[in-house]
Order: sequence, then structure tokens, then C-alpha cells
Amino acid sequence: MHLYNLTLQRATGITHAVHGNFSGSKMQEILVSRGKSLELLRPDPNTGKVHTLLTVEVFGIVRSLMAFRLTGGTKDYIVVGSDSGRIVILEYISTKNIFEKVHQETFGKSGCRRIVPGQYLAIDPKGRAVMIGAIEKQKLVYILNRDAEARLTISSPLEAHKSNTLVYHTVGVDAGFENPMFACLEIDYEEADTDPTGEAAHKTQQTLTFYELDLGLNHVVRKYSEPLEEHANFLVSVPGGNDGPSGVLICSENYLTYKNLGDQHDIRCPIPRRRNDLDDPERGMIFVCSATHKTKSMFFFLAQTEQGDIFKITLETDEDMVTEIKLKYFDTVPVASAMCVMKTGFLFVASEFGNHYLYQIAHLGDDDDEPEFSSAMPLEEGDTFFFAPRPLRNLVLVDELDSLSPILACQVADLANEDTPQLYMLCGRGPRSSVRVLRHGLEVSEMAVSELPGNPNAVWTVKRRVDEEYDAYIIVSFVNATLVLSIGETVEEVTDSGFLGTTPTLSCSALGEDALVQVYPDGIRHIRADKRVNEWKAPGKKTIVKCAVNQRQVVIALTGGELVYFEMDPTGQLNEYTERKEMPSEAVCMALANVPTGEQRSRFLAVGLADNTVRIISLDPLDCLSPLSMQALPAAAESLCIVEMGVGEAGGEGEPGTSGSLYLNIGLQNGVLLRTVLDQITGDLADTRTRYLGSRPVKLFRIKMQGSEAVLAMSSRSWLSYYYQNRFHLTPLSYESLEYASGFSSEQCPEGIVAISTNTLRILALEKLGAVFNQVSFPVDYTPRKFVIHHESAHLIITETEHNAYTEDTKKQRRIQMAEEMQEAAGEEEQELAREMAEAFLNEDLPESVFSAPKAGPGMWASVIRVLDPVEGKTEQLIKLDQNEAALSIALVKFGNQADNQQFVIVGVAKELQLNPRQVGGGFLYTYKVNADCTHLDLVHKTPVDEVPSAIAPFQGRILVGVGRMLRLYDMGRKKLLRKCENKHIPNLIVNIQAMGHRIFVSDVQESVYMVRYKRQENQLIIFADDTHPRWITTATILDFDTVATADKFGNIAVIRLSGNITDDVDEDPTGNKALWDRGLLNGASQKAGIVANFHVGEICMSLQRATLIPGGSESLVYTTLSGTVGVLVPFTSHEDQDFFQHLEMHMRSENPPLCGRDHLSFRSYYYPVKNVLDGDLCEQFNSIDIAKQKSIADDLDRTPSEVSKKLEDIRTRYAF
Amino acid sequence: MSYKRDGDDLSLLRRLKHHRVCELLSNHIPDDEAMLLKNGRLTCMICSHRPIFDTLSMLAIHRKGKKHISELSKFLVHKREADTRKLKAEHRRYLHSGLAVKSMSHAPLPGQVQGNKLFVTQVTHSGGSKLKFGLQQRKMILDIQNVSKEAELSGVVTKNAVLPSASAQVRQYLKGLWKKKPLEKTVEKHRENYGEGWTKPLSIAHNNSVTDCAESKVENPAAAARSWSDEDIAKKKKADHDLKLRMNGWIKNADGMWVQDPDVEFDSDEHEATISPD
Repeated sequence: MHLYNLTLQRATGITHAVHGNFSGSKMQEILVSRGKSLELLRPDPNTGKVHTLLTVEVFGIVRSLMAFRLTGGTKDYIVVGSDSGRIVILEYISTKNIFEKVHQETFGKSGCRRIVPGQYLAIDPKGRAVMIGAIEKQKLVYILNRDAEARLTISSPLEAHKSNTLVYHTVGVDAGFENPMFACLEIDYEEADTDPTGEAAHKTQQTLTFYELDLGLNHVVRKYSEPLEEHANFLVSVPGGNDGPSGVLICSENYLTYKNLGDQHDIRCPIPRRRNDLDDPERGMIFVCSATHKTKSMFFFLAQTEQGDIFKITLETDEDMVTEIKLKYFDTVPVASAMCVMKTGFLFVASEFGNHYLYQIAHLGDDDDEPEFSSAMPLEEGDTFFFAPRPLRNLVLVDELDSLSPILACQVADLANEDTPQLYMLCGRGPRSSVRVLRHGLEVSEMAVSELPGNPNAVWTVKRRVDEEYDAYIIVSFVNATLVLSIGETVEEVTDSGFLGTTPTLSCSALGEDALVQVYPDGIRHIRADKRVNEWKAPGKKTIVKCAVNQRQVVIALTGGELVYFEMDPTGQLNEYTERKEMPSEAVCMALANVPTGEQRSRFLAVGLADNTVRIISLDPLDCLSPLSMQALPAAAESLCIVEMGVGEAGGEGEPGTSGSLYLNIGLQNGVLLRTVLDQITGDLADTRTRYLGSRPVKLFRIKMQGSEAVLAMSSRSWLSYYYQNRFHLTPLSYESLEYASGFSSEQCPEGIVAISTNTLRILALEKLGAVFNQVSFPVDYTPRKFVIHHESAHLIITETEHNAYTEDTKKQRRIQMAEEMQEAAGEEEQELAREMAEAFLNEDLPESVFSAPKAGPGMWASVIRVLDPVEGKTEQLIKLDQNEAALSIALVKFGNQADNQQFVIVGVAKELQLNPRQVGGGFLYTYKVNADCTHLDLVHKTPVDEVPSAIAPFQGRILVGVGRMLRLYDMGRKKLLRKCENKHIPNLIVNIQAMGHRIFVSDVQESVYMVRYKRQENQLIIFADDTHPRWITTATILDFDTVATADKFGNIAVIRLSGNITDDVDEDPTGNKALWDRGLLNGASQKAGIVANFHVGEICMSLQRATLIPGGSESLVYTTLSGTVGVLVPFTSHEDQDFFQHLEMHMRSENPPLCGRDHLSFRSYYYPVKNVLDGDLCEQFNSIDIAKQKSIADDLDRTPSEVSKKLEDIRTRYAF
Repeated sequence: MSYKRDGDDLSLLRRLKHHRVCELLSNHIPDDEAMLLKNGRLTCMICSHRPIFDTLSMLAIHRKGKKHISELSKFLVHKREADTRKLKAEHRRYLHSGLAVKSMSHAPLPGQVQGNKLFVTQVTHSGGSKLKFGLQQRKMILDIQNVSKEAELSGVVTKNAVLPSASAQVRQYLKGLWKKKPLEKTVEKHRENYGEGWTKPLSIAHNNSVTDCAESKVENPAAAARSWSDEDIAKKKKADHDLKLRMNGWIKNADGMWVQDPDVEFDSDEHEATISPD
């Protein structure tokens, strides 16, 4: 078996985010790392929408990311610290839309190691040096400079190693143009390590150490080191030189401290806490994330606590001496892993979990009634300030980026009866969790819907002048009339446009600079800017049947197959070409390309004829109307559309972008779309791609999407064919079926679509280009862990379990208790006030999804069981479990000794579970009876068990339960579940049970899969085989009777198989007198499974399922990861394919080494050597490497580049999207 | 298991090669005179104390040893005795039932020559029975009464009377040696795929029993005719019921009574009869 790995949706969680002018223009971009890919985002300053410019898979783990700019430069570079043992400097080339590796310097072994640098990066704010540090001991400093051609140079590394030192954080200190300086949070553990009494371990203090790079001596010195009073977790560099006082802010538990070299005293300010917080007041508060904003005149910091509260931090200075730290509560947003403040006044919040947000900073919070806390305010040691969290005041949400991360469970099923299966996912963490339903398709936002008198046939939009930004008219054609609507603040009918309203319209367009043209069955109407009208009448009894129009040309087909060609001359007159062209049969459709910029005309006309052919006809004056090429079609053409795609973005300095090529799209009457390359010189047609779109004839419309051309194809479903990030996408729209459409641009909706559907006119916008899925999200209370599908009713039964949390009841009790304390503590005269405050406190309702839930402390659990209708999003029932009960497993079963169709839900609950060290106060199996339409669960009984019931699976009319390390078989009893048999030989903890026939695959948390057979005669569960490798299984699924796919917590997927001659008919040793040498290898089972495939995904997979993703497609193994990736492993059906992709992968590995310097083969073999899995993500990068390389690889494979990309497209569309 | 290698790789390779050659050149060891254990080691089935060897070459050396030779002679004597005893038993059974019942043993015992054919030819030559029909034919049961007591063991007794010389025995043994399947093949197969080596005998056993059953069925058409009688249905029902009881955690005690397994949980009012026998 050979598998091909395809990522359907890249990771959505963000680990790092930096901002800068990467494209070199005035625009600021955000570069985010999503674990193993880099993505460049650009927030549009006008609309506030975040667009993705580029995504690159790096096949390595990005551990740190920094942007820097050389002194005096205008463009930012990117430094990447990764697991490659190399420092990599990247530059974004906007013309080619790629990241270019400027430098790559090797310094150590690959992998995330303790003493190999890569974990920490610090940049000198003036861009003169970069420090890359390891967690322990090693730090290297590279000097950055320019050479004579102003190219970036990098020096050899300067070492700043110190052994026995652990590093917590490093920053570049802004020392102006003095020698570059770096500050590190360190701890020296040498003494603690050697002291046998353990006293030193308690005494050892963290230190703040400054390293100075002496540019004169080309040497790094450890300049100054100072022990810290509290344990700090991160540093913020304070602007220096002419901009500020320099130095660092040290964020530690409960305190924020300013330190600097020289005479500066430490300034210390407590971190304010929420007033009347349900949290444990003893729990320390820390800042987790910060952003610095600096202008020429001022600077401030935004720092976020682990509750999500952002504080604005400012420093008061007196002649470069800091005298005071001021803190002001700013707003509360979800806890971020990184924040960026942009020059345009946006705040980008890359959330730790769940969706990411872009906020507009509406106010700086300078002049409001919010109290400002200062280090100068006298406070007793241990005392702190209090504030009241409130809804957003200074920030305005402008955009939200969907993020699935973390995906905890996923199942593919068609519960909504839509033919195409949906993906049901449990996402998120804590109060920000959700259940999401993902459907393949592009999300459509409906801007307006208006009813029309009667059913229109067609719709167009035209501009009044070519240089206008927005469209002026919408023209709607009916069976016997035409309606003209003008676009302004509102859309209303006009009659003075010059269009003929009493006839249906075949087509209309803007012509030349400022004229309009309308083609109708009896003629052509040319409307000049001064409202003069020229009419051309169709001769005699002939009428116009089809036409094609662009900015300068009009071609019409008369009945009988005669073509008439018009072209606009320099005076703006529309002239008929002297000859006409007789076609062999009736024309059924025609298309013209847009006139290329700087040219007079489009050189090609495409005509679809009734004899099932498409012909390309030249419009060049030299051989006008002569046929150039022809293509026969499997069915009659319905619609044609010529577009130019694959155009690179034009560079900032006016340099032209890379030119694309012309594509002729042919929509057939049988619902198939063909896309053919139209040679720009000869007009030849080549490289046809086919795709079935739906049951209706395919109509095609050219629209604009993100500045480039795209094709909207309409069959029984609407599809958008567009070129995005070096790849063709053909994605269905998640919207009802449409009949006719046209591009639309107005002030409110710069890039929209106007479409008709029955008797309505709709204005739609497609914003999330590149997204494969559109998602519907339903919020839930706690982290959803597992779910089962009740297929008869299409309901989901979900367990939600939260550690470190209170249940609703406990929260209420605590509130009441605190309110009482409040009143008691108040003096006589304050009673009234206290009562009011207590009342307000009790009624306070801040949504936990924003303000985070109170932390109850370790060992405190809250759980609910939810019955959810995922189509409507309605919660049918919510069962709340008691405080400290953790629901860990769930299964839907039918018992053999119960009524035939009666289903039960079994929920495994652990009581008083402590995670580290693992301890449990017992557990329960809750048995619920499910009613027929699955709207209600009835508790039948509660079965106590002695360990954590971590996995449940139905098995032959009974259930198998993993209770700690015991595998047990339970049957339904009257008062409880009855334990019928048990196997105690699983070593640690059962995490997953899968059964097929009498075979049971039991996954251990750390020892991979055990194959168990149930022997009915002896009533025994017997392990008959196991795996040869230890795997820390997260999930497993059965592929067939002998094969199981597993995923582990190190990000590997493995397929293991029992070879044909392994028997499960073995006896356990019942007498115990089997000889020692006969017990099998290393105490394992005596038979071993073999490994079929191994692959390192790079992210922790939480679900594996064999499923079909497209109707009529083949089955594949779908996986989802914690970072939000959805991927598939698809089996190769032929050896030729496998051979081809194997070679392509090999060439890609050598021709296109990964961006962060990690070797692709070694990355995919991180833990186990990659076996029998080919990496489609790497193969698909073929489309984005430069043409010469593509050609050389394709030559080696004995193919052309387009054949290679066709094969890549084929294998993708056969299994997925 | 240790992965530590002693010596440099070259010498190791040479040693491995030497081992391989030794293995190839080692004496032919029949499959049934040694057994591959599931941990990959070998044991000699001739010697009664079942010594364990790590490699084929060790086994080969052992087979040349004094101890093995003496054990071999003992083994041959034993085998002969066992054969005779078996022969007698078969013969007696044959005389009683009138059917040549094939051995029901699952696999040929190690070292055992395929005795059945021999037995059949001997029987046809023995004077008393006058076997004229093929194995497939039905034998009139009435004949049993006619078989006289003297005739009963004549065939076997005559055979017993002429004991072959010891050298003839050894010759016969050596002759048979090369006809048998070599052990190396089994070992090799085992190495090719982990876990096969020891499952093979089991699967063979399984196959044998299946074919045996099939044959005995054909040989006994009367039994086949009876197969769906009420009695059988009742028996099957009982077997199903027993299985159900076993699956529910009931076990049979020494008296053949069903008792509850102390390790299994039951409903408080559950007793054997509550499990419906259908």
C-alpha cells in the first residue's frame, strides 16, 4: 500500500506573528507562522479585511520568527528560527509573490534540541545584529550588514555561550546607535545541580543578563547580570536612542518592573487584578503577550494578561530616567499568542485558540474615566490594584479569521442530506469552544436581495467611463424588455441611460473610453457619452442570435451562422469589417478576451458551433476572420469564456508583474466544464482539463476577484474558477443555484457579483478566497472532547469536559458566598452601598467566551453532556455533571439483551481526576437510554469503576470499556452494567478501542496497539499480537480486518497490519506454567504486526477516519490535527502513479529544498523513517517553482510541466477538493 | 536482546557469512525431528530432554553427538513399539466396526512415519479379513459377528514375530530421512515473516482436522444421513445455550453443574435458568 498525503486545509492556529513592510511598499503586512507553514497577511486599510498574500509550507517547525530592517532601509526581512539547526533570512519578493531565502547559515544539529539555538530570536532594533538562542547554553550573534551592491550580508557567528544556563526569553535592547545589546532572562542551575541538599535549588534566582556585541572588537561580552526578585516570564524592550529611555520591562508574576543599565532605579508596579474575581485570589497573574507601538513622538505598550485583559503601559520619564510606570485597563480580547499594532491603527490578535481577530484601535484610552494605575501610587507589598473588566470600548472588531485550532474530534458524515458529506468538528478550548460543521465550498456573503417584476434572463453591469472605479448601471434583460438600474447610494431604475428598454438584450458593455453598447436581437446600439446613439440594424429577416463584446470589439452571429465583426476606431466610431464569415453551422456561443493593456484589440474570437466544435478565429487585421484552430467537444457547447489567469501581482515600483496565459473555458450542455490553454501567439488549444460541475448546462461569466480575472460557472451548483497562490482553484459556492451573473463593483462592495435567481436580483460577495471549507459554528460551554452520531436522527451527542473549571452551580454558589462576604465586610454606614455592590456583582454577566472562565485550580473539573442537532444548531438536551466529574469517553450502543432498537449512550466519567501525577478517586459509567428521535437521554444507572474509564466501544451487543489499563467487557444489567470479563495485560492506559468481528484493537497511551480476541467459549479476552514500536497513540481507526491506522502525540501517522499468517486463535497461558522462553519477545505478545506506512505530519492528529469526501469519489483516510489542519492520505490505485509521484517527490526534494532549511526527507522521518507515503504537499509546490525548474523536472519525468500539474490536479480531485 | 556488537563490522560480517555457509552445509534435519519454537529457537524432538538450541548449526552439532545417537536408538525402539501398539489398536477397532478408521490425531507425531498407507497394505495382505471393497464402500456391519477371535490379531502378531535387525532399522530410518521436509525451510519461512514459524504447525493441524472430519463424514454416510435429526438440533441448542452461559460468566464445576464465576458480575436475581436456552 502506498499513500499520498494531501492537505485540504492548512493549519489555522497561529504560533507567531510579526509585522513589517515586507513587500517594500508603504503597506504593512503581517507574517504569521502556523507551526509548519508561513503565511503573509495584509489587512486592507480601507475595508479592514485581512487578505492572504502567500502561504508556504516549510516542512520544519518554526520556533521563532522576527522581522528586522537594516538601518536606513525601507524593506523588512524575516529571520526564522526553526528545528533545522540553521538560521534563515527570508525576503518577500512581491513581484513573484514568493519568499526568497537570502541567507541560510548552519550552526547545529537539526531537531528541537536543548542546546541547539533556534528557540529564541532577538533583533537589535536598529537591525545591526541578531541573536539566536537555545533553551540552554548556546547563543549565537550574527552581524547583519550591507555589501557594496546594498545586498544583505550576514557575518560568521559570534558565540555567547554559557553552560548550565537556561534561557526564558531574549530581546534586543534599544541602545540607539551604541553597541547592540541583548537582554536575556536566564537561570544558572549549576549550583542547584551539584548541591545534594536541594537547598540551592530553592535559592537559585533568575537573572537578567545583558550581552553586548562590541562592533569594534567583533566580540560578544556578557556585560551585566542581575538577580531578579520574582520569577519572570518575558521581557519587553523599551525604545531607546532618541525615541525613549531604553532598557527593558520585565513581566513577572504579579509585577511589572522596569530595569535599565546605569543609574536607573528599578521601577516596579503590580499587575492590576479584576475586582471580585471568581478566580483563586492566591493565584499569580502574569502577562502573556505584548505589542509595542512607536511613533516619532511617543510609544506605548499593550500587554495582555492570561485572562485576556489588555493594559496600555506608558512610561513617565525625566531626562531619560524613567520615574513612573503607568498602567491603564484598555480592553479585553481573547488570550493571544501574538499581537501586532499596525501603523494604520489596527490591532491584530492571533488567538491562542480559536478565531483570530483584527481590531481597529478607535481610541487610545487617553481621555476616559478608566482609572490609571501608577508605580508611584503607594501600596503595601503584596497588595495590588483592582479594575472592572467591561465590553470593548477602545477597540472595534473589523475582521475575524476563522480558526479551527484546536480540533479535538472530527467525523465525516452526511447528516444534512446534501450528497456531499460534511465534516463535524469539535473545536476550541474552554468557553471559546464550538462545534463546527464544515462544507466544501466558498462562503458567500449576501449583500442585498431585491425582487424584480417577472423572471429576468440576464444581467450585466457597466461603468460609465473606463477610468471610473465603480459600476454605474445594472442592466437586467427580460423576455421582452430591458430594465436599467443605476447604482448609487441606492439602486433605482433610470430611463435616461440611452439603452433600448423595449427589447430583450443579448449583451451590453462599456465601449472605449466612455461609450456603451447594447446588442439586442435586431441590432446594435452604440451609445456615446453625449447620449448620441448610433444604431446598426440586422439585415433583412436575419436576427442576431449570439454576440461577444469587449472594450473595443463586437462580434455578432446572425441566424444561419454568419459572423459580423465590428471594431472601434480611434475616433470612437464602431466600424463593421468589410467581410463577413459564414460558419458551417449555427453559432451557439461566442467569447472574446479582454483587450490586453496597451493593445488595440483582442486577437482571438472563440465560437462554439452546433456541430459540437469550438473554433478559434483570428481578429488580426492581417488575417481577419480566418480560422486558427478547432477543438471537437464531447457535447454541444453552452457557453464560452476567455480569461487571462496566473498573472503575478504588479510590483510596487511600477514594474510589471509576470504575465499569465489565456484560458478558454468551455461550458458544455452536459454539465462539464473544460479549461483549455489558448496559445497567445498561434491561437492553438492545448492542455484540456475537465471537471463535471452539475446536471445543468454550464454557463460561464467573467468576473474580477482580488484584482485578477476569474470565471463563475453555473450549473446545478455555482462554481468559481480562480487562480490563487499559484494554483487553480475550482470551488463550489455555498449558495443556492443561480441563473446568470456579472461582476459588480460599488463603494460598499468593491468586488462583488450581481446575479439572478428566479425573480430576484442578488448582490453577493466572495471574501474568503482560498478557503476550501465554509463553516457554521455553534458555541458550546466547555472544551468538547468526544462525540457520537445518532444516525437515525442525525443528532450529535457530545461530551464537554473542562479542567481547572467550576460548574455553573459551583460558580453560582461562589458568587453568592462572595456577595455575602462583601456585605459582611462592610461597616455599619456602608451597608447600603455594600448591598448594592453585592447585587450588581450577582447580576454581572460578562460572557466567558471573551472574558475567560475563572480558573478553579488543578483537579477541578466541570462537564456536560449535550445532545445537539448540528443542522439547526439547537441543543436538545444538556446534562450537567457534578463538580469534579470529568466525562472522558462516550459510546452509542445497542445491547444484545435489550429491546432490538433501543440505543444507549454510555459515558465514562472520572471522579476527582488529578492529571499529574495521575490519580483518580474512582469513576463511573453513566448509562443513558436514548429516545427514538434522540432528543432526550434518560439516566438508567450509574456503574462505579475503580479507574478512569477512558475508552468505550460497542462490541457484539455488549460494550468494551478501557478502565485504566484494564480492558473489560460489560453487559447490561438491571442495577448496573455487569462486568463479564477482563484483560489486565495492557501496560498503561487504554485510550482507544476499535472492534471488528471478534477482533479488538486496543490502543495504549504509550505502547501502541494491542490486538485482542474475544474467545466466547472460554469467555476470555486474549492478546494475540501487538506492535513492535512504542507509539503514544492519540487516535486509531480500523482500515480492514487486519489493518489499523494510528496517530500519535508526536505527530506521526502509522498504518500497521497483521500479516496473513498471524492467527488470532491462540490460547492464553491458563496454567501459568509456560516456560519463560515461550512467553514471546520482551514480554510482549508472541506475534507482531508489521508496519505498512509511516509518516510524520508535524502536528498532533486527533482524529482519523476512512471516508469519502466527494460524491462518487474514492475512500481516503481523513485526518485532522490540533493546529487545525484537515488532510487526507489517499491510496495509489496504480503502480505507474505511485512511481510518477515518487520521482516527482524526489526531484522536488532536490530542486526545491524547504524554506526554513530543514531537509524534507528528514522532517517526514522525524520519529520513524517515512515509509510508503508520498508527500503531496511537496509535490504540489511544483506549480509554484519557477518555470525553468518546472521544465527540467518535467523533462526528467518524460513529461511536460502542464502534464505534471494536470496529474497533480487529477489525484487531488479524484479524492478531495 | 542486545544490539551491542562485539568486534568491528568486517569480522562480524565474516562471521555471519561463515554461519550462513555452515547452515547451508549442515546435515539435513527433517522437519519433524526438531521444532522451531516461537521465540525463534530450536529444540530436538528426538531427545527426550528436549534441549534448546539457538541456531541450526548448534542443532546440527548436537545431532552428531553421542547423547543424541543414544537417544536416537532409544527413540527408534520406542517408535517401533508405539507403532505396533497403534497398529494393534487400529486393527482391533477395524475388526469391531468394520471400517478402516483413519487416525484422528491432528498432526503426525514427530518422528512418526506416515503409517496409514503401510497399515492398509498390511491389512490387505493379512489373511483373516478378506478386504475386497474400497475404502469408500460401505461394509456390511453384519460381518462383524463372523470374525473369529483367533483371526482378530493374526495380522499384527505375525508382524510382531519377525523383528527387523537393528541395522535394518537404522537403514530404514536413514532412508526415510531425506524424504522428509527439511527444517531449514521452515526456519527460513519463519524468518521471512515474523510469527509464521510457529503458527504454521497450528494451521496445518487445523487443516488436517478439517480434512479428517470431512473424510470421516464421507466414510460414514449413515451418520451424514442422520445429521439433521431432532437430536442434533437439540444438541446444537444445548451447545448454544452452553456458549451463552459461558459468555455470561458461568462455568461448569467438577460435578458438571453451572456455577457463577467469582470474577464475573451478575444481576442479583440471575441464575442459570434465567438465561433463555434459545
